[in-house]
Amino acid sequence: MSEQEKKTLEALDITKSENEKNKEEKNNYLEEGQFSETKKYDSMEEKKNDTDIDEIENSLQNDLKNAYIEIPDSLKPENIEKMLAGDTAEASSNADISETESDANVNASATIMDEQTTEEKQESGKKKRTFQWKKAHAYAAIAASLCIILGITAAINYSDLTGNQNMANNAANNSGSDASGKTSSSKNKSDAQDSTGKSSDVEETSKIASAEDYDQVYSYIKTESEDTSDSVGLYQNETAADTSQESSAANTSSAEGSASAKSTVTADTAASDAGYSDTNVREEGVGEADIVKTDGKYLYILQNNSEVRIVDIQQSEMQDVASIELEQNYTTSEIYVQDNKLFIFFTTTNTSEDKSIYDGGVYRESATVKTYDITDRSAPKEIGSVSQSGSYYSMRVVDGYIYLLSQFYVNTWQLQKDDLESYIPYVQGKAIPIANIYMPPYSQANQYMVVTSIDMNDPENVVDSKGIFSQGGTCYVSSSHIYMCDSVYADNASYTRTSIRKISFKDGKLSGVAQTKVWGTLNDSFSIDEYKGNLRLVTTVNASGGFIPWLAGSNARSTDTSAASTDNGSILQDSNALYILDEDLELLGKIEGLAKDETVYSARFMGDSGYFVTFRQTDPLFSVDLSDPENPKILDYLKIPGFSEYLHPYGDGQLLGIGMDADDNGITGGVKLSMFDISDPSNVAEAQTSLIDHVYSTDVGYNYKSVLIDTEKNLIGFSAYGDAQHYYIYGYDKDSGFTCLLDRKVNGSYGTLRGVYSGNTLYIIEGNAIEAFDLETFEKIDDIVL
Amino acid sequence: MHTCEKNTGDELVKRARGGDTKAFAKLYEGIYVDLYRFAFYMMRNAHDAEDVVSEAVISAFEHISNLKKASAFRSWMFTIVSNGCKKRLLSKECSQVELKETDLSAELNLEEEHDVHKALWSLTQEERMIVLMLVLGGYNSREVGEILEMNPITVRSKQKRALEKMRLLLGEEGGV
Repeated sequence: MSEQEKKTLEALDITKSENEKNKEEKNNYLEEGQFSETKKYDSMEEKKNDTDIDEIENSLQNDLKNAYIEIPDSLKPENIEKMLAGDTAEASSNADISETESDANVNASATIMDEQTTEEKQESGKKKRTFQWKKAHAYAAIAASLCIILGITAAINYSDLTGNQNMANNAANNSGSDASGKTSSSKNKSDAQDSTGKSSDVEETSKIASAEDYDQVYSYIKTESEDTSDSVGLYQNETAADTSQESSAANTSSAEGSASAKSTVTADTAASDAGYSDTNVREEGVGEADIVKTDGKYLYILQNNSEVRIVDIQQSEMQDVASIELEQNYTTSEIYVQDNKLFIFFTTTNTSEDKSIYDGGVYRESATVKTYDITDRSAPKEIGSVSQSGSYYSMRVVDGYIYLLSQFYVNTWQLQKDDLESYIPYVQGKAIPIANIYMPPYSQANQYMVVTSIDMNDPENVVDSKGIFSQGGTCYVSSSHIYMCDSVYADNASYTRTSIRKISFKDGKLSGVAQTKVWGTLNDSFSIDEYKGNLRLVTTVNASGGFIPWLAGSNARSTDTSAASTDNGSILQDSNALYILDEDLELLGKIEGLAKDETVYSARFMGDSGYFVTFRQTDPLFSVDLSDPENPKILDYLKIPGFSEYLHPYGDGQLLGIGMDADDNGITGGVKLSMFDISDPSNVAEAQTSLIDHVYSTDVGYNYKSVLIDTEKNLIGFSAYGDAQHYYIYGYDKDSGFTCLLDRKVNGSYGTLRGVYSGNTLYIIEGNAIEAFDLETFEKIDDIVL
Repeated sequence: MHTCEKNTGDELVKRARGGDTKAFAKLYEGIYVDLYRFAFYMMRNAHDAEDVVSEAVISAFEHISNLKKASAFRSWMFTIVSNGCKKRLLSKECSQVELKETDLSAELNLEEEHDVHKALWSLTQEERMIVLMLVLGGYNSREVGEILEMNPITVRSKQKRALEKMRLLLGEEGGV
């Protein structure tokens, strides 16, 4: 470390600790509800409001603390101690069983692979583990797997799936079988439904239906709310909604879907051509907002939820040039910058007509995009804003149009039939036309994905808007379509399903295309991908009642049981599936019964190839040939310890995996980087790996936008947690493997970390501090505290 | 609200680091009720909550060498549990468990106070996590910010928003 760097480091640490101190002080005040920088009391009423909130907090505390919740015996301290100490006899005998089983099932090559990797892993970094610890692992793994099924290896799955695949290829299955592959000649609808929704006694159509009238919408909500009025329903539906919301928030969306397997190399180089990095996105060519953006000359940073800062980075010394402060009741989510315009996306919370709910006021959220002209970076000017019902979900930019997505949850406690706004999405203060509400392919719903398009050059007006009515789900957005994917857990089928609705967009115009259902649920938006008009997905199939199957479909949906008892049912049960649908969402090809008892952890479709990682105890990486959509083929699978939570193409014939290491019992260790050699998709190999010790999780699996990956500059940047939050930059070389170029411990661990570069400088943005590093030497150049 | 670990805590951590399960169990004893409640309210069912907590315990015991100070044990455990909840809710594998109504009533005593739970569950996952950490974990917004890797002011504003939402849903008396 140079003398100079030491000095700057010290300087920063001082400023930082002062800053921290300030923050702490502020927070102490905040705790007492007296003072806040971001919140000033304009009136006594507001103050009263806060007191009310404190009351709520208190009563909630009493309520939650005093509610009688029985703690499972297994979690009592004495039993935890026993578990950790390990009941030797039980643990080892159980471990023996699972080992025997797997040994018996593993084919020769897999065994070799397994042994190699196990040895490698044991040599590297696992020595410190005590004997006691191993036993604890074994015990715990067995305990945890009671809800699933243990001891089946990838080898047996592989033979299963090849068998199943053959069946599908033959297309000679009896029509009652769900494994019946659809032949290319027969394109009729019922066929597709047979293969996708076997036990469909609900009327299903492949066309997206618009709502007939407001009454119809109202009745769906009523049905839903009646269903949810008992707590079971509440659980089901809220779980579905929440999970999907979370998973989609975490995975809003980037892939190299439109690039072919070979040309994926270019996927990340677009940014380097421009000389600066852009947000890691789900779909190439489709812009996404984030908390930090750069145009190479300035950094745009969303801070404290309430302020956007603009920092000039054209000189080596950074300069804070402007700040846009937002109102207090905004929850600002993300920002986007393009052509001298800055777009701020946020959610506001209000009650209707500023009335209390006792005077007929209704609690409302609206998602808003506010546009600023930043031609003069030091003087941003507001030039327009668009609002719609719901909380901000995500956004995309394609061809100069913004597609704003919000999630509007109908609050059934405040549902009033004559108050349209309580159940129909509003855009710019007007109810969206009834024909623009797309009804779900099931008979009840309680929320909408509201999609609005805005011309970036006319940021005050809405071009088009739709309300996709659902029970909640994930959105995947390709360069020309929005796919609304709802997870269907408790319909009349034996297994979980995903309902897919396809909506096209072009120049701001939105229109429904088709809908269908497939078995299983998606891991995240990387599990679904559009390529040459076809849609490919990989799903994990479970019994629709989770792991309490006898509770599934409790509403006298007895048709289920027959479906569950069919042979193909056992193929589907707790396994994974791959589907290829054509542009009308009709089934082209599929592989079912993949990797039994494992769960998809990550997936990446790259042109004519697909890769996905499933995990139970070890981590099979599957390589799939998709060049013939009607005949997808598993080319290879690779069994390695641990799992990758995120896959990213990394140059010619290479696939980067970021995830966790795990031992034989599926217990995770540290963070693991893997580089897979995919130059021969039928012979995939783990070329290099690197373990980061003492680090137990990364942001990568939750939010792909937090990753900085650039193949041209050879940068792999991400944040991870160990003793504190760290930002890591790794480089990769075929021969020498991964090299840690930078390991920056972040002092305060406030806010979310992002790394971006412009020219030859890397910026790490950590809350209100920015540090600049030389991209060659990784020596620190500058820092600034905003 | 830091109920656990004073001087003896450091000793316990030291011993736990050396593989002493009793010491670990002692540390755990001070927090497990809140830890489980937290997981339960996040996951909304006993099975997942149990799994999350036991997995967290295993992971924590393995990585206890990462823990420098006993005083951080509680927040460290909550971090691991909250990550476990996030992960599990995301994975969907086990998150869609349906419970029998009787199960629920038994577990929650869902006779009187269920409105609060309903309101709690009407929050987004993130809001719920923040509220639970503040209310159940007894943390201040700075600590929650550290655990959730969020700015404390963000935490405070999200918490305010969440409680506001709950207040409206619960129909508490008071002006708006």
